[in-house]
Amino acid sequence: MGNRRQPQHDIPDAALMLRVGRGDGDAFAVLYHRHYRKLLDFFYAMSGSASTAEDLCQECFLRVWRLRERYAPTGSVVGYLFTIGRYVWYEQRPKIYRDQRVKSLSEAQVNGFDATDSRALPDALASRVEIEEAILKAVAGLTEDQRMAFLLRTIQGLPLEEIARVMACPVNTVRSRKLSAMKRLREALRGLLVL
Amino acid sequence: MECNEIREKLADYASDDTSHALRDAIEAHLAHCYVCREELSQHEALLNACRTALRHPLPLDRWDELRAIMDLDVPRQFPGWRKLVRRRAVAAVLATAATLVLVVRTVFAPAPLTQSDEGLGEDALASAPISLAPDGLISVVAASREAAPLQRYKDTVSYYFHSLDLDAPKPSGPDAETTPSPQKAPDVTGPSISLLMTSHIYA
Ligand SMILES: [Zn+2]
Repeated sequence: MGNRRQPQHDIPDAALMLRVGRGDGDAFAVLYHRHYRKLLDFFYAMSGSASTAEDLCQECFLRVWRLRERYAPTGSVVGYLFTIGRYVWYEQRPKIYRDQRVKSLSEAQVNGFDATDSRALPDALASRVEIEEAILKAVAGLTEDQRMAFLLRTIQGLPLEEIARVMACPVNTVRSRKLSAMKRLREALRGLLVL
Repeated sequence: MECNEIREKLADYASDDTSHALRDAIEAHLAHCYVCREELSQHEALLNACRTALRHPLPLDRWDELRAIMDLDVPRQFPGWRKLVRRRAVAAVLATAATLVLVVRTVFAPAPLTQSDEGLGEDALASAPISLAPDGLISVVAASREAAPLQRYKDTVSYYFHSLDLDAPKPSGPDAETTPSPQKAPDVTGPSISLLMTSHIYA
């Protein structure tokens, strides 16, 4: 497919996406490798599960490929990827939560760790793994909108305007969701991180 | 600005969502206020901890897997079909062709039908008028028991509907969309559906 073309690794996202729109699988491969990590991290933080994140990431890129003919160049390609990612999240959410309920029930029987119980973890003893688990749990305790706004802004670094497009809401709403998330996370993690 | 005012802005400042003017004002305040600097460092510690913790632990490249699924997207490999005729027209033609074949097969069937073929099946199809609504015909084909030779027509009909991405009976569930089965059109003795279909389209 690509041996008659220039290497595509230096081509900007938007130009690659237009090629993808014409069915160019090589251009899509470059886009995938450039951005799959972002989607993977996003879905990991949204779901709290590494395997769920992998599935959702694949599903997201598959949708981008299948919808390629409908792509219209507005906003950044990364924003477009997260728009599809958000759609995939909401679509798969019932199944994700169902699986998590089953998983958390079986885990609760194995260990009784609870991030909201500050006595469970003396500050000085909290290991890195424990801190990461507590953060995942605290993030899971946010509303979906807060979680999404927080992750897209502070972890993925998308501009507020871009997030507003992804989340289909006003810019100020994104900002207030992010602030609410930061406030709630600080409360949930106080005593665990050296805050 | 007072400390209270500054503190309200520190979460935005830490996540880089302040205007240039506000940022300058905050930095001017921080230069001489230890308490607000401490407050800011807590916001920053939270964000740094989250950036570390919220990374996928094993970010494997699964491109090959994705590529394999993309290659199985059968309908996309035959875009010409879509442009040839409208979806509804194809559905109607297919249903008519399928009925025609099934009726012909049944009428000229060499052996009597088995007693075990309850309800639907070749009996039902043999008596079905050609003018029956397409959806009804599809239901008859889809719901028929696995009595030979009907199953072969069933396979053929579902294959063609599947390959044209029409609203034919498809496997349900979340995997249905992502894993289209790359099955081949089964061999059908007697008048072939594809031939009949083609002749209808070009008629
Ligand atoms: Zn101050």
